Amino acid sequence: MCYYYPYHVLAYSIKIIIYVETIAYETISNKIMPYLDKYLGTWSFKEAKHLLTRTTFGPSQQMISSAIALGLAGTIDKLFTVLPLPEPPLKSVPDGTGNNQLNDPGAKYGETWVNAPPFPNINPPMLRNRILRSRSKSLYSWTILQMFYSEISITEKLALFWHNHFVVSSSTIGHREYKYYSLLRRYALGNFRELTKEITIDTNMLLYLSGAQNTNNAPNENYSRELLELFTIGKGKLVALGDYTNYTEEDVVTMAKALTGWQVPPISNVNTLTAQYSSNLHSKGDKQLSHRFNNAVISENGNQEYKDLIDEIFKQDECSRYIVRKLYRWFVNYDIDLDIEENIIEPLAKIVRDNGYEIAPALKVLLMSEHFFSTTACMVKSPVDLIMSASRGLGIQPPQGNVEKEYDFAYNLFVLASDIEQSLFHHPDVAGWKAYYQAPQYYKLWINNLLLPKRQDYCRLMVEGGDFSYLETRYVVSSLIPILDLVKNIPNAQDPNDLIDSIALMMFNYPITETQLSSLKEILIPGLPDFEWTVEYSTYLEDPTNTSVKLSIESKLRNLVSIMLRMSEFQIM
Amino acid sequence: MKKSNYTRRDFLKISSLVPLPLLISGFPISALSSSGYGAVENENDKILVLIQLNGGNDGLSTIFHADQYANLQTVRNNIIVPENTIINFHKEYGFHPSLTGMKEVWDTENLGIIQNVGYPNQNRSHFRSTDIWNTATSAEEFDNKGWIGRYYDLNYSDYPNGYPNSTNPHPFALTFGKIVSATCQGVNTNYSLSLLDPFNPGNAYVSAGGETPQNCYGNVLSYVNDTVAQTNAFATVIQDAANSGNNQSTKWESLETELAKKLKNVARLISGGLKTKIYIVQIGGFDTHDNQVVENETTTGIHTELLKELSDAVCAFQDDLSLLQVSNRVVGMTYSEFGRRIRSNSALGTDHGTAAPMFLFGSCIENQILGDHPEIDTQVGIEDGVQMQFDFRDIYATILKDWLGVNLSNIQSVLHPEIQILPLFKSGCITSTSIHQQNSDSDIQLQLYPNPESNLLNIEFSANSGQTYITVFDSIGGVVAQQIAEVNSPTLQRISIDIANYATGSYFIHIKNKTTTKSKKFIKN
Repeated sequence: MCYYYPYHVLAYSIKIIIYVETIAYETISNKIMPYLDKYLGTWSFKEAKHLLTRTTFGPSQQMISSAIALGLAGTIDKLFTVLPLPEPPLKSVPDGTGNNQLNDPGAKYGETWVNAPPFPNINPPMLRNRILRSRSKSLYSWTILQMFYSEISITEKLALFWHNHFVVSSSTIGHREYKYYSLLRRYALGNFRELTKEITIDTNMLLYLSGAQNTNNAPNENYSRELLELFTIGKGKLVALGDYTNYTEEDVVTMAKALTGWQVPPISNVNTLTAQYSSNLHSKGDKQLSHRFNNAVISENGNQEYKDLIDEIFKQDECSRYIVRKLYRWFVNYDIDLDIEENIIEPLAKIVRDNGYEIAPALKVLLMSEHFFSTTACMVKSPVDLIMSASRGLGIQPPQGNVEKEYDFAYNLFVLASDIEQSLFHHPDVAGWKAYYQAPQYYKLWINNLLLPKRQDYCRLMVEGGDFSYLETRYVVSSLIPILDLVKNIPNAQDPNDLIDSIALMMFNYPITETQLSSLKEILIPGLPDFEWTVEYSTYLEDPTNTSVKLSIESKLRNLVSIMLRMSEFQIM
Repeated sequence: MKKSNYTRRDFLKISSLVPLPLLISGFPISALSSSGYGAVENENDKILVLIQLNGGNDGLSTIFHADQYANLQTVRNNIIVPENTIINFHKEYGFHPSLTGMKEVWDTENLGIIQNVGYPNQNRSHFRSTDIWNTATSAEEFDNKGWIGRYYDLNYSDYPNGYPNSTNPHPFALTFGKIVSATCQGVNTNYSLSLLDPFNPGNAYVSAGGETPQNCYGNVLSYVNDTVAQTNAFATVIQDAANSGNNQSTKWESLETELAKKLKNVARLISGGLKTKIYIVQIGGFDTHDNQVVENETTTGIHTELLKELSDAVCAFQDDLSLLQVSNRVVGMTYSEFGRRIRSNSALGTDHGTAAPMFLFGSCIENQILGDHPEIDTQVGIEDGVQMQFDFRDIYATILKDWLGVNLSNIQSVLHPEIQILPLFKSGCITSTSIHQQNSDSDIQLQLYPNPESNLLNIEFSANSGQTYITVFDSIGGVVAQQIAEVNSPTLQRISIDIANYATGSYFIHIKNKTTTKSKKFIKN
């Protein structure tokens, strides 16, 4: 086994050079696509819930009923209807100078601040910063509110998808973040390539990935690297010096040059939200890409050059596969084996390409497919999905008629999600939340010994109420699951077995076992026979105005649901 | 394994990437695995603290060499700290002015600095390179498991089923943060727990378990149920250790940083008797593409703050460990996914580079600067980083062997077959189960001539007998050519390589054997 060289000087064992070929998925024939065949099976509560859980945030029971009535095709049509942009965020802190009050020169309480100058020209700086912070806070709350208000529409789930794709995670001003997120929402169902162009010169992005620092004298490749590695084509294996299969180190450098010249006007400038092109900061001349882009030349084209560059990147089919894999991990499952690659990813990628990088047609095929409905539901809920399923999913709605309360309610949920590691506008880094890319754990990363107790407890808050603290601030949860409304449509709710089974179906993917049922009955009616519940609930139904019976029923149901929300089954969707 | 019959001439023609796995497959594993120790070893009570510097620390702004300052100033004029602010701690070397704490750790003989640590074919993506460091694979290999995870897989691959138990009542590893460190990912699950507040590690509600079918749903459901069980079991021991432990150093009093709080808790848990062997803490923000320093006030800015946070926290930690009288059981190590470019950019920052120094600290760590200082050429290319001298996996290997007491064949299975054990520990502290030679790095003498050259480069070296790797690197850390030589005589060796086909520019010849490493630059005209 062992080498032995009986020489006195040197003996050589020479290594051969082998370029590792990446697996080419070009072998799809014209065979039918069984995996993406249109789903023709039963359309019932279970399927409607599955579709809406994955395409919206914590669908309410009413939404699921509507979807059942609409049918699969009807629901898909409704999900993919392009909606106008929502009304902009409002100033949610009351005017004044007292506690919990604030005067914003850009907007009165209840009016939107997005049309005001981005920089409040006010002193002292501490007051100015309070105004800026209140705007950002209003934006974060409002983003959660859109998840509540958007009903049967895939828009918000896709907007968050793009937020996790074109990550900007920095503490900037609310105006910039609003403009950036509106761009993502505007393109949510739209064209991947065109969105890439717009995001490239979005001021939020220019600041985040140093695009605004990228000049002819000192190219900064921070953006061009992520543009390739994370935003468009993805990084393949290192197969030769500086060659990552899909692009090379040289391409990173060359592309940075094509992207030079874009500046962000100072914050005090009224045009600070619009990128400005400075010809004298642009690296002039033609830029030649590597063989990975067929040695294409990006001709000098001034302020249009970035578009030419992005068009050139998107000529590579790999861009379509890259985005389809990410969409698959977002909507279906993280596990992409060769079978899925061949039968799901590749055909969908072709649809994406055939539609000029519009993503909706391919996504519709996926979400209407046999595959989507036959896949076991085993996704760990993201924090936002968890919080939404424990609130909207069980009947909680934002308080109406009082902007401050409405926004505070939503801000609580934003903070809860932040504390369990999904903070909107504040990703851990430019690659986005690890649960969507970090092998081998993927979604399981949302859960560990630290996060699980919090996840359980925050669900409990939705039914029991109470307070929690985050970054040394205390928050109170006071909008609770309307427990009596939730059970009122359950047929035969007088039978504790039917009651618990029905609630379990609302909350979990699969029915609970006999053991679990008995254990939950012990929570509802400890040590008592079933008929005690039947008697008491029937009494309540006969006279719902009887306060003492009502309170007694309500507290028993709250105990029950509080436990069910903390069951491991509720962590999965 | 078949014996290769390639000729010397073949090597001389090599001018492209040599994927490392091929190299490994050609290596005589038995040469290093003759120790004859069994797979299971008794665990010692040693503790390792990993400090991950996320983003890629700028090593060239961390440690300075007196001879190189002038050249460095030429290529980093806008960000370099003034020469008179550098803290001299050694006859040739100085620290960034914010590293007063590190100076103290050095003065108390608790600091090891390993120069130019990296790996062949440096990947300049944060994410990929972080994966490489965490999984301790080569740039061409993919492994989902972390190096600490693979270490624990040697003996505990059934984890988490049946843990904690009477033999292993304490967590194997703790990550201070909300997400567990990828270094601890094992075959079944991650060996690390997450911790923020040791006094309140968090308890999970235990509900009646349901069916766990044999599909992905059952798999995820079991994962959640197991997490519930472990959370509660381990929470008790962590809390107990926090309550019975304490801190002694007064240096903590002035420190409010996150890193200081985390290390303070690590010290407390150790003093409280927690038997956890691995602690991981992280500090982010090292990706200093812009505003690394404040313009014209280069001793201030982001990087200064970060280095200060690191240095003050490590100094207080080391002081605390000494006062708690546990310092001979604990060593720490910093790591970062890459160093940064030699040239700064005009945004007062630096872009992703190649190798960088690592800090090791602890009373058992040899107080030294291991390796050579990076030579700075004023004509250095815009993409060039610091050439690697040491492979980070050899640092890991040495820690596994000399600190955690893992035998060589196990280390080879955890890391890679061709490990090199480095002299990182004070000799009285080494706990390894086998004897090995620790030579000084002057062991290899290396000369290149003529230099610059355009056709035939002569490499002249003398090395201790044995397997010697000769590698040609390009200026961004890529492997251009490599070969293994069996040196059976300590006399001077000379080989010539044909560089006529190389693109013009700078390259490095890197020579490595079982115990030492050397690298030298040459210019292809």
